[in-house]
Amino acid sequence: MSIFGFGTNIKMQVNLDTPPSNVTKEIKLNSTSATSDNPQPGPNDNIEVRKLPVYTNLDKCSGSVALQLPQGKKCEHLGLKATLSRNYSGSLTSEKELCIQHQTTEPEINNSIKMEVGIEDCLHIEFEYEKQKYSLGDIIIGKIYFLLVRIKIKHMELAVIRRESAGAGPNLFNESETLLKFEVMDGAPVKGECIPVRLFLAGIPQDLTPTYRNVANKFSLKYYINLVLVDEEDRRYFKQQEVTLWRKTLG
Amino acid sequence: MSSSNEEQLKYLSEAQRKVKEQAFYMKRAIDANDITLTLSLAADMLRELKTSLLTPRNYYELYMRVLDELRHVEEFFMSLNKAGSPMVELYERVQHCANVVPRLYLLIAVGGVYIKSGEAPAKDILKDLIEMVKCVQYPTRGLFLRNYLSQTSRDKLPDTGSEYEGIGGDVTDAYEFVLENFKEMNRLWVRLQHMGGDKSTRKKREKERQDLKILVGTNLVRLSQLEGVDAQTYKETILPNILEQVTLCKDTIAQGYLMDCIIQCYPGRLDYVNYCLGMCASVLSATKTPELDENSVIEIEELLSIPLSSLALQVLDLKQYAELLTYLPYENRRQVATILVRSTLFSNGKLDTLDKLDKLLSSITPLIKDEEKDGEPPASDAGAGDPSDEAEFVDEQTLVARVIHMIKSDDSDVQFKLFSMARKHFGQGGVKRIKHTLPCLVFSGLRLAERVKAREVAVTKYTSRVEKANKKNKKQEDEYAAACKAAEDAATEEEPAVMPTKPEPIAIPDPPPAPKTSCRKVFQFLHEIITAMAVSYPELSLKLFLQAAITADKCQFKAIAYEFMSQAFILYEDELTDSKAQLQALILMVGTLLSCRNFESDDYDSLITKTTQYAAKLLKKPDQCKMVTLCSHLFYAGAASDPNHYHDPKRVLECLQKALKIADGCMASSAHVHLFVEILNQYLYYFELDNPAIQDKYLSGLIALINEHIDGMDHNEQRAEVEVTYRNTLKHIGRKKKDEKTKQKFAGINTGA
Repeated sequence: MSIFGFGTNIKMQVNLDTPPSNVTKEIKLNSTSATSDNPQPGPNDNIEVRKLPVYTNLDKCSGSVALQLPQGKKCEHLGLKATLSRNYSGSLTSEKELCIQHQTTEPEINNSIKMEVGIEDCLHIEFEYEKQKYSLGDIIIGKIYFLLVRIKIKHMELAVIRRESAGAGPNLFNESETLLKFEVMDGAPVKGECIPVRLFLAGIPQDLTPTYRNVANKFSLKYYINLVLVDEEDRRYFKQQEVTLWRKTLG
Repeated sequence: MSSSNEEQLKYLSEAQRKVKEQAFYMKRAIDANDITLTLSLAADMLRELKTSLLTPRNYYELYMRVLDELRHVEEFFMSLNKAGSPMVELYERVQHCANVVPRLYLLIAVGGVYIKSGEAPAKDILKDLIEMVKCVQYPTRGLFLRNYLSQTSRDKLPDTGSEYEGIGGDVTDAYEFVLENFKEMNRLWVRLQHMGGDKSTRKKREKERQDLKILVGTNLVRLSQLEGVDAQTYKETILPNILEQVTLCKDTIAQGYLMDCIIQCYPGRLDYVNYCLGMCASVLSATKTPELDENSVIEIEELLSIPLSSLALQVLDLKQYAELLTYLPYENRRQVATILVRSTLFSNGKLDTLDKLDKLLSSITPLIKDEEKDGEPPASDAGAGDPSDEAEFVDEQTLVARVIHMIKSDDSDVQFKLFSMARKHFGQGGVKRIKHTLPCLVFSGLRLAERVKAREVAVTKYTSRVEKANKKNKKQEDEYAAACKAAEDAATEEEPAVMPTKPEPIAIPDPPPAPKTSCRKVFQFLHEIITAMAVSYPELSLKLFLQAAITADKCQFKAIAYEFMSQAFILYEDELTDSKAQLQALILMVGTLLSCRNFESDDYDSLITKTTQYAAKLLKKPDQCKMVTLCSHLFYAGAASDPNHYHDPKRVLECLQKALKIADGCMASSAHVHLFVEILNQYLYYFELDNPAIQDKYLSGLIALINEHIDGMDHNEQRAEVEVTYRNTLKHIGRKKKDEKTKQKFAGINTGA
């Protein structure tokens, strides 16, 4: 767009240097007319898959800007301003999307989750998950030990649940999503039975992210493991435990 | 889960159709080398095995169908591995499947290929698999899943000598794996019983369990197939483990079936069998009043019957065998007893010790004597059963009698003791049984008598041999002494004595051991038996007395032979009333007398006179005639050259003439002519033997008589018959007349031809 005859004749191209991680990530992007007031995607929306470079919060973002001027023209500028933002429009812009992943190291303390739960005279179990903190490609390894079984169990499953919460106070908004229902046991065990648990987080079809707690005091993303036992009459007995997910590798 | 047959077939065919469909797409994905899609479709296919709608039999059909298709997946995995894909990745990938049943089938499929690839030790993979399959706790599904595991792993166990041994483990890992699978499968199998429901579903459950039992039993077969398991390991580690499971599960169906399997897997190993029986017995004895239901009874019966085919008599050495037998009711014990006897006969078992015989006879008491049948008093001997029962009874007793033939000892004394023991047992059998069992004992006893006699003879011979040898030796010694003296006397100073060589004394062999039980004693024993039978079975006893007489005669016991004969005669006089029976007995008596060569002539005399009197007193005239004729031979026994021959020519003639008289008195139409011809043949016989009393004039006379009577006969079948016989006789005489050697003798017979 030109006011003084500039702009449209200059082509600007931004090239980002490859980030130190040298990792890219495929992201599904919507070019959408959806707004916060009207979150439904419109008829002209496209969904594309693009490969974006991945930066961590410690990386330097470097690159070059190339201006292509028409023959003989000059362009004076006051400098470049690179802004990292979302949804920025105006001036001569070129948008380049990046992907930011928060990578951390192995947590120092990582105790197991071990608990005995039950319902009086009906069902007593002791469950154990090896760790409380799991990397995104980790395996949830544990076992379920049956101390008392007086109900007719049909099957047992583990559900991996993601809960996003945004806002604070009266604006608090929660959203839960079950990412995976993983059947752990088929049929009814007897007292003394010990059932192994082995759940590959990599098998979860959706992208996992690390746990976020109170980002900017407004935003949280937490993960839970829900152990569910279903009896013959479809009654559900469950126990939910939070697990902390952390990112070990970029990608 | 109670659905009709129709519904079952509907569910099954629907499920099979879905499997087929998924398999089709799955194979396409395999061909396209698309791992993700293959796994997804395989999981869809395997999901059909999650069903709870099918009975075990139908589930099995579905299972087999799925396994067929799963083979393609296994091959696909192998090809991936060959192309360079590391197995550990595939192993992880299949675990992403969210449903446990498909996930585990795929895991086992990959596991098998993983082991084969050698990329990880076999034992580690096996350990992981056996741990993960615990996740299926539903009995039927769990059993089939573990069966798939068992099948897949069977050629991949780190057994001694296999390619997986070494890093992959050793035979201990192999059998621990199989034992663990067995243990869990047994638990699942028993759990089926308690899946609730009322009485009708309980029966159904039991049937379903029977259908599934082979899945559990296969593990035991696997264990027996392991090369690296020696008897020691089996006895000390594996078997106790198995038996512990058998006891702990407290389930009669399981216990019965598993004991069967254990024995079948290791046939002929006495100590295993004993161990198993011992466990079973101890289990039963632990329960104060073992209430054995039908199934357990059947299982125990089978349990006791199985080792018989390979061990036969040896089972008697197993303490627990007899003990276990007592837990069975009458009818089942009888069955086991029958099989025991049959297998012993088949294996040519030898009952050569008192202990063995006693054990055997004690084990087969249901066959030997009546017992209380489950609270009812013993069946009376006079039980009039239906013909099929009777036939069965006779078969059974014949079988028992054959036991006697198995009594074989090289020592006649021992044999006698064995027979005495048998006698005691069989004596308790009651009237109906002794008819079949005791005669066999008598015949065997008679053979024994001959054996003992031979021993006694050997001893006697030896004694005289020794005497002779001693005499000879003495003579030799004396001669030698004399020769020595002569040599010394003849010796001078120039010529020293030339001593003769000392002769070798004749060696005197060791004496044969004298039998402790004398032959006489054996006969006494037999006498007692036959007498005991006489009350109920006079005819049979008579025959046995006659048989005994022959043997006694052979053994040169004149007095004993006479005693047996007289006992037979007494029975004839006192007990035989039926004319047919009398005739048959009489014929036997004549035959016996003719066989015996050693009677004192006085004794023989009285016996044959008596016999002839009996003959003359028979009811029917023709019988009288025939028998008297037969008795004539008693008076002309033995060839002339025989030192023991008894020839009384006159009495022969008397008999024949008496016979003629009787024949004449026969009123039955033309029967007498037939008799005449027969008597003529007898005359001829004696004539040829040069019996001085039989002269040619008698023959001529008789021939004339016959000619007369024949002409008077009606022309019918009877006449034709008689004429044929008669003509043959005449032809014979004719030949003799023509023959140079006999021409003269036969010249005097006028045949009227």
